[in-house]
Amino acid sequence: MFDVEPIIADHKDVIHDVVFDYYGRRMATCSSDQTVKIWDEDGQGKWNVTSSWKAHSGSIWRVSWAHPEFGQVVATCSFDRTASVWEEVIGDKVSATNTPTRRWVRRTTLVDSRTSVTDVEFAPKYLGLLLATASADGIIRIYEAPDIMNLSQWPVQHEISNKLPLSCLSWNTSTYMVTHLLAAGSDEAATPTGKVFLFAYSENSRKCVKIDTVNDITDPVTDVAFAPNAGRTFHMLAVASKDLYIVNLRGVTDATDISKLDIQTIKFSEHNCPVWRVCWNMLATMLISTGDDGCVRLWRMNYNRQWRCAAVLKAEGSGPTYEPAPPTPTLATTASATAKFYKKGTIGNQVPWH
Amino acid sequence: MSESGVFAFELGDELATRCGNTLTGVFVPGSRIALSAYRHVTHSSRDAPTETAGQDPVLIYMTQESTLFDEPVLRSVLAEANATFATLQQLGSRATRAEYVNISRAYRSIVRSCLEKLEQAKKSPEVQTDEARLQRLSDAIVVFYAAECLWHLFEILYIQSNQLVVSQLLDWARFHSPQAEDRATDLLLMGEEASESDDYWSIVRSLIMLGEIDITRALLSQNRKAGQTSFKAAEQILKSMPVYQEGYALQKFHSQWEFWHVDTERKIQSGLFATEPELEQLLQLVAGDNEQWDDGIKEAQDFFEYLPGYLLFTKPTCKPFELKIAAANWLNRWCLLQPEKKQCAMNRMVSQLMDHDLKIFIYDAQKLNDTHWFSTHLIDLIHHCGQLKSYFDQNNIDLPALRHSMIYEYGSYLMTSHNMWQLGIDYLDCCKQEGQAAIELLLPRITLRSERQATKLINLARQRGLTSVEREICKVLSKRSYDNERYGNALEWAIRSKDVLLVTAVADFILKHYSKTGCMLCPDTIANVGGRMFASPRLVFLSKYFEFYEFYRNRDFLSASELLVNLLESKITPDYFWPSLLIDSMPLLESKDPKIFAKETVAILHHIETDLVPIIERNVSKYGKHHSETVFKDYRVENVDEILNLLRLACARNLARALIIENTMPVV
Repeated sequence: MFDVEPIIADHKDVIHDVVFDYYGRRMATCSSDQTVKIWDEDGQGKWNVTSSWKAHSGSIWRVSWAHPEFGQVVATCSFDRTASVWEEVIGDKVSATNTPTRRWVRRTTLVDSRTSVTDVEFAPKYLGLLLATASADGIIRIYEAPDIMNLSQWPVQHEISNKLPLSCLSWNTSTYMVTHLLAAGSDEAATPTGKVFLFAYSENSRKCVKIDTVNDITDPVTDVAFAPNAGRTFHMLAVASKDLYIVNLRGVTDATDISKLDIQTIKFSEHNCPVWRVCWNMLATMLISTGDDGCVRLWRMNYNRQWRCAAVLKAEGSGPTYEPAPPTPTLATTASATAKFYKKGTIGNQVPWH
Repeated sequence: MSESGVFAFELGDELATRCGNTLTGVFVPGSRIALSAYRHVTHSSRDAPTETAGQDPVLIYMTQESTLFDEPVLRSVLAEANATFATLQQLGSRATRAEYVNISRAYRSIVRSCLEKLEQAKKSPEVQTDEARLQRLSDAIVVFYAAECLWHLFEILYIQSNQLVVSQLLDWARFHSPQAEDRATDLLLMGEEASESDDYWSIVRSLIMLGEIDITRALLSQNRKAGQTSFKAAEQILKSMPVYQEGYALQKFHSQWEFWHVDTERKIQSGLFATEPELEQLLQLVAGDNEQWDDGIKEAQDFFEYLPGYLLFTKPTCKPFELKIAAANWLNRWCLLQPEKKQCAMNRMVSQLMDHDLKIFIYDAQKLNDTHWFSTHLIDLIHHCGQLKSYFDQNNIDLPALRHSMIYEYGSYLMTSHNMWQLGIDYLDCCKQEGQAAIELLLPRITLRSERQATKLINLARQRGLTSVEREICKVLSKRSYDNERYGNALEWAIRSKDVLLVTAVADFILKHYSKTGCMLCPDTIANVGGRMFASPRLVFLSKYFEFYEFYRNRDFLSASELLVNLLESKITPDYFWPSLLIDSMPLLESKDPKIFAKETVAILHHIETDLVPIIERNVSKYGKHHSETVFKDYRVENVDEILNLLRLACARNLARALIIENTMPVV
């Protein structure tokens, strides 16, 4: 059973991305209505819009929050071929007693792409304040803010071209084996080649290069997501394509002492239709997949480390139905040493873990 | 429930059910999911408003698996169980059975006291008026009641490992069917009049079926007719019923019991009680008459209610493996006689336990609405007491892995639920490297509400050697203070984070601010930096410069001059600060009685030419002459290049003075 709290988003059109800050107390939403909204959760658990602004002149695809040690910073990318970085600043104090107002200011607009910027994501914090963008012309650009106190400068650090248009990207947050590991997917449908690409920093050429392609996935890919790593000795990448995939990446060292990635792909066909989005929980013990069947599937790793679909959340239906309340006890309660409690009612409708 | 046990939940969002739209979800840090309508678009589709734009409200649903633990009364269950859990971990796997039974009882007493608190809370006036809260409390009672009942049975059958189970089962059944006993208390207080009470006989029957022989006898002896032969004979039968005592020879007990049983049946058949039909029926129950017990079954609320009583009168030395058969038979009878009653989850789980079907029991236990409190702690206890090891081995269940996984999930659940993280961390501590890694990921993501809480988090991180977490928290606080214009705090946290870049950035800001405005930010913090200044060369410079600034302000010009010269020589002066530093030297150079020696004056001159001049040149070539946007500013001059000549002249004048003074004898 789930408790549901609806929030009126007040966007004029469909939302493309809902992203939470590091603590889960702030939310950024973006929409086809070209606006970004920032929400804050108050002490009572209610979400309120604290900022809303027109950020682009096209649909906004994605939002990404920077790590809080860089302050309150979000990046957006849009159909209008740009990506932007926004920072929250203290406004002028209205009076000495009032808490100062806060507003979001545009720090930079990244105009290098000549096509739609389809995804944007801040790099894990160990790399500093880095931002990667993927665009429809197949180019991944990695920007860096050299001065974290002044976010107006974002020189391009790396630019990697691919033959296929890119639809999504994801940074690997773990430093195990490789650094700068980045995955990108392409939603190109015409060619029967691998659609997920892996990039990493190469010491030899001193730049980010493509290191591998996941050849098992040849259908269009619409989302990729690296799993957070809680002590695993391999990397997990969830891929949304015609089916849901979990790709395990293990570092292996071959006979010639060159370390490379061993790629193992597991396919999950439960959706029976294209999968659009994937999302991991904080410890990568659960995964959410969005299917074209109007269902959100919740996957859970069981104690044998197998992935199982644990719950399905459906778009349709009449809303949450609650079990009828258990009857109130009519027993005469009198003085007695033993405690007495009635016991009728449902005791089990929780999602089991194993 | 649908498709092979996968939990299904219907949201019912209009926008998401419109054609072309679907539903998407993301995890919210913590244990929530945000759902919203989704429409897939690609870069090649035309960017235009959706045809359904504005028709349906766009909603985001914050979804969370229901939990009872929002209720403050229940928080104590979590905290107390956490303590018991810790005790069990210390006991390990080598403790005696009695110790494990104690642990099991400790868990149960937590639940019992919590149930009592819940009952009390339910009666309080503020809850009575709060419909939702009342419902929550009632739900909690239902769940924890079941948890206690099942745990108790589990303890009897699998932890105590008794040879004979009937007397324990009787205690168990009585605790969970207290109504008859309550009513009996009332009746006993009424004395002789009780026998006129409408429910007198039905209560006495219930008591017998629960095996409450003593109370039954007391009630019978209060009856108005207690003096009659039939009542006296009944009293005799009940009194003489052999009860098995620990250490008794089983064989001997059997023959005694058999004799008593046959004797009872004979007495009933002889018509001794024919005048008192109710009493006769009662004794027929005692003699194990199937017809009578069938009637009893029909009165039972749960199938297991009268099972222990039945065993008492038919199979008093029932062993656990015999219970399996007896329970199955009893359940069949119950289903036949009460076909309209649906098997509820709890009845099912009771029979699983009696049936030794632990695999399914453990699965069902996870569906209890207690966010896995029961299943996690029970599995941990099973793992430690080790009695069921062979069962799990036979059934191909990797118990250590299951336990590990349950504790890991439970710990991470608590850690990601607000206000409960302190309990969760103890569970994750039991999960070896994986738990450590989880703590490392989750600890820094706990919302930093106050500096006190931050200090607490930092201490926890430090205890576990998680320096990265400690540094991360410090950096976040530093940046937050900086954004809130609390620069002293920002510097303090930056230093604690030991992050050179961050310390440098904050120190830079303070220095630049000074050269721009002449106002030193957070002097108290800088004065207290002390030995920690070595966190970054820039901080060393800031501290030293601050020292100079203090000397100067206190008109200790000699010390100030000495320090200034040292600073100029130190090679840690940031480029942007050269103008300010050299301008600072000007009043000292121009002083009537010289503060700076000739040698040092030459050095200053040297710095002007080798440090300041190149910077000014670079600046000019970058921005052009007289451009307002220079890389450096000083509050004292409009244009930095203008001061060059002034500085040179000041140096020259001081040099002249110093040379004269240094090379002439003082005139007395």
